[in-house]
Amino acid sequence: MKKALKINDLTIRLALFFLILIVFACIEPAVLSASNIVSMINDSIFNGIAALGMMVIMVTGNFDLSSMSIGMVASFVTLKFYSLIGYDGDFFTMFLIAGVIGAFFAMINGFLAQKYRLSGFVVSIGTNLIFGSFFFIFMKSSYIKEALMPKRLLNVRTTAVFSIKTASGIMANINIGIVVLIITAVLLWLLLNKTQIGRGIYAIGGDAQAVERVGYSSMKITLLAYALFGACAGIAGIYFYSNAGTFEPAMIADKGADVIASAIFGGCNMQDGKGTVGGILAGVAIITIIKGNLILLGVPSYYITFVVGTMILLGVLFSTLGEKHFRKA
Amino acid sequence: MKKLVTWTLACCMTAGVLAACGNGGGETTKSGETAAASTEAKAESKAEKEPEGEQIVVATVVKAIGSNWFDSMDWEGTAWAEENQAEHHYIGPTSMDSAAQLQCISDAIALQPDILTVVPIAADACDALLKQAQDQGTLVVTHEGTGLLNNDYNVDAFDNNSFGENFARKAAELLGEDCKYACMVGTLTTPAHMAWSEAFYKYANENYSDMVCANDISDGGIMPLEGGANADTAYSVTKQFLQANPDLDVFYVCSSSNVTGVARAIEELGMADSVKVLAVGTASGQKSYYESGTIIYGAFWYPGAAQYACYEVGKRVISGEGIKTGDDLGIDGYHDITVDGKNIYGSAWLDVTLDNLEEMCNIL
Amino acid sequence: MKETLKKYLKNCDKRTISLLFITVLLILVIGSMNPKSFFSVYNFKSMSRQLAEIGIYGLALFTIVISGGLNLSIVAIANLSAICGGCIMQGLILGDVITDPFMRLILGILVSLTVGVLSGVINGYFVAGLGLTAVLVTSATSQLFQGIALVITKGSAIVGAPEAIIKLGSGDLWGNVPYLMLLAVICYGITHFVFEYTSYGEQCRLLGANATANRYSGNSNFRTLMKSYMLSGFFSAVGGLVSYSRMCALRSDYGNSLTSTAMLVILMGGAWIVAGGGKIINIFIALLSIQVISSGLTLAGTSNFTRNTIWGLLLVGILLLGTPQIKEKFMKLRSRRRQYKV
Repeated sequence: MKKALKINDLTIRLALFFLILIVFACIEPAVLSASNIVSMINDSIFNGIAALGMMVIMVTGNFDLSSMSIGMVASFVTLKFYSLIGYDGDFFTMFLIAGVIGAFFAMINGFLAQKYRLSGFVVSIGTNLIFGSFFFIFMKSSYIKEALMPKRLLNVRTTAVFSIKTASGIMANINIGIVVLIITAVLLWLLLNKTQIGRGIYAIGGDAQAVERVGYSSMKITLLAYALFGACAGIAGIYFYSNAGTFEPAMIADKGADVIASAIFGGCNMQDGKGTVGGILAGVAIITIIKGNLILLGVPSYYITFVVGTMILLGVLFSTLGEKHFRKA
Repeated sequence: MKKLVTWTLACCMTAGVLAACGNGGGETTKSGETAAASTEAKAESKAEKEPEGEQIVVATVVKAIGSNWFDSMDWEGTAWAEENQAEHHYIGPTSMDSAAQLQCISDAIALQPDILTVVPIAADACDALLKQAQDQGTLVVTHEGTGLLNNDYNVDAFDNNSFGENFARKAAELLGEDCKYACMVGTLTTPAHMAWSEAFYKYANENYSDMVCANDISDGGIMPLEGGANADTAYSVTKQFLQANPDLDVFYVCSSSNVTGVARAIEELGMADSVKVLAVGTASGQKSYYESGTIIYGAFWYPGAAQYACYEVGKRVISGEGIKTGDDLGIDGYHDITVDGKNIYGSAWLDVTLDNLEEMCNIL
Repeated sequence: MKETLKKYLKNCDKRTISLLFITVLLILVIGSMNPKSFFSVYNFKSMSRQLAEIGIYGLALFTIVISGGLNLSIVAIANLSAICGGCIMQGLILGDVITDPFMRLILGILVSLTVGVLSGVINGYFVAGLGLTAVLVTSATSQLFQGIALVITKGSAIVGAPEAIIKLGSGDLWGNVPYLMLLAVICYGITHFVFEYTSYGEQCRLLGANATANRYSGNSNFRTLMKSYMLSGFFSAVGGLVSYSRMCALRSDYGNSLTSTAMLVILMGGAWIVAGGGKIINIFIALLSIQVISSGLTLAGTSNFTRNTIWGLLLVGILLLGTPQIKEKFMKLRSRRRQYKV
């Protein structure tokens, strides 16, 4: 029965996504054009990676507001390190290093939360402030000019895995970041659903004490969950900065709200320890489609915020009521 | 209880030590990449002078710290302060938020500076607070703050109208007098950007009747696209706009933080041959796009020089020397200023093209 | 008098005393970095006005946090209600019908507060009535309200404020106590009364601690939560008026950083640490310490990066100090010391 419920949750979200897509396409057929679809796929990469990390945390029953700061500081350390040693290797290594550094910082959060039985959310508010500003007190400059950014990293934004030329002459390039997103999603899915420790992560969200009694170490599981979260945040962060071309600390901060919205839209529930990889991807898709098409649809610029807010609200209404309906059945 | 006391004492002492270290770092920040050889030479020659007389306090509040654009104001402000035996404070929020900037301005006024320079994020929000500064005797000099009521002077690198018109001329020169253009500002409430867009539109309307404006027009005024606070939002806006207007020829991007987002969107859509960018902003921040040919022409000014000019104007007004058209403020771009009531203009704009790219990258 | 004071101090819980101690220590340590500027009348006024703004937004957040939720739309409600009220006060709406400036002012304030409460009702309907997640709902309504404000203002700012509002923002009682400070103290007093001495307050705390228990006690979760959101909307509207009085202009996108600062203040004051907990007096003292750090460090010449780090360290430090493990360590050290003394 539980399996059937999981499928239904995902189905509701996919239904919502297609509903929005169809409504948009009726208003403006260009929404379904190859270039727009590819454009939306590219937009979803950052949100997708970061939201997958958020999911792991929320499944364990915690909430964390410091994902953007962790991403930022992981990128900063990685970029500084690379500009210091002058190495210009491939970007996958850079992504991995950023992921490791992000994992390290996130584990600080996890350690404090687990060892001292504090709410992860509250600790994250404090560490968000610390991570976001600590390094810049001692550094003379808190930015990195384009000239000093590793060249290979900057090439990420132009590397495409798939390109087609559309009728109007516009190129549609799917950015290589989609490979990173797919690998992350697959690895997380395998870890969470096919390994013992993955099940432990799901279990700890449901009932922390039961997990201890069964023999898992809740500290190890929490640290692992936070490490995964931090790694996703770090990779998403360095991907963001590779797109941006320069590093400035404040650039990434506003993206946090979208990530949280994607995660919650994706069905993550802290109280019940729910959350699936498929749900997250659907949630990201919904947020991306809402946010990325309004100008194309011709909404005047000062109506856009209003429309986005209304659509997210309606979307939440739709998916939550749909879930409740299925649960009753 | 005692241990609690000791712990909190220890925490606060650590806080104090960290703050003191930060204090030391903050006031002597000066990157080696400072341009304007004239200021460096001057600083060296004046450094031998003994400090004499009462130290004046000067403070500057910028839109956001942490980017080299505004940090350059710290470098030049410190240089000016060293030459004039003043105490310089560089204050700004960590992100471009007008509420946070109000708090910074409030604290800056509490320093009771002799000269206060402000680069307002939202001019109308700061106006009331600046009155309090004036009431306590502080001289308020703003930068990028035309239209404010409670400032004594406003220093800008150039006259906004000429700047906007120049871009219209460049569009005609480089892309033909019948091109289709769109203007993009940071937000609709950034006075400088709106002034440049208006000037571009008016000049294009009057002189190039075949030029087509892709933005909305309302009540005879142009409604530029809003690029938002950073490159990411601009990227998203551009992608959508280009899909709706694939026959666009040129983007005029007024906010330096938006330029890379616009250029990236153009290149990603593969339209770099047909859509070009006229950019405002530092050459070093947009270098690769000049090299790839997406940006055909850009212009910027060195904010550090504007900061130096602001302080110099303040000093001359306080000392009674006064300020008038034709004065030389002692820094490049402000050797022959124009004074129009409260507004002071230099001639400090710098053109950037592929030819002088390297040189311009060294400036900022 | 002394006896009642002593008894009051004894009844004060440890958190209040330690927060008070930390604040005094911060004032001494940070103030000593730039005593001339820090201990000046202007700085006192400047700090009071800033903390009044943050403090009232903190109250708007507190009413929701104490019942176990989160409200991310306080700033958006504040801007929207201030804009609605401000339009009336400036005569932009109904300007021909009501011409007397005093009537405009009163009506404007009433409209502003009403819009705040109504926005709270919308929030409450979705969260309490339909049971949706508070974080997502308030995040969406925050964009909704900001969007409405943007449509009203068409992206530009509304400049100008009536005399009384200007005076509220920059005037002082008896020349030294800013009106905004008085407003903040009154609001805190009202909230203290509501959450300590009314049955609604008790229900809120119970709801925050254990929603099922609250329902079984015969209280309606829906009504309690709805009241909380309305109260939160009311305080957001008051916060909006405070911001209006400081800026003398109205914007739809003002104050995004205030939400996180307000959250910091109430967390330091003890909300969320204990479910359903958080004393108003603690939050007020936490507010003072946050403001002292902010203004004091800027006056001392450090950057906002330093301030953010100190804030973060202080929050984490206070959290850790309150945990049983650290307390146990104190007890052990204290008993060991006592052993040696004997």
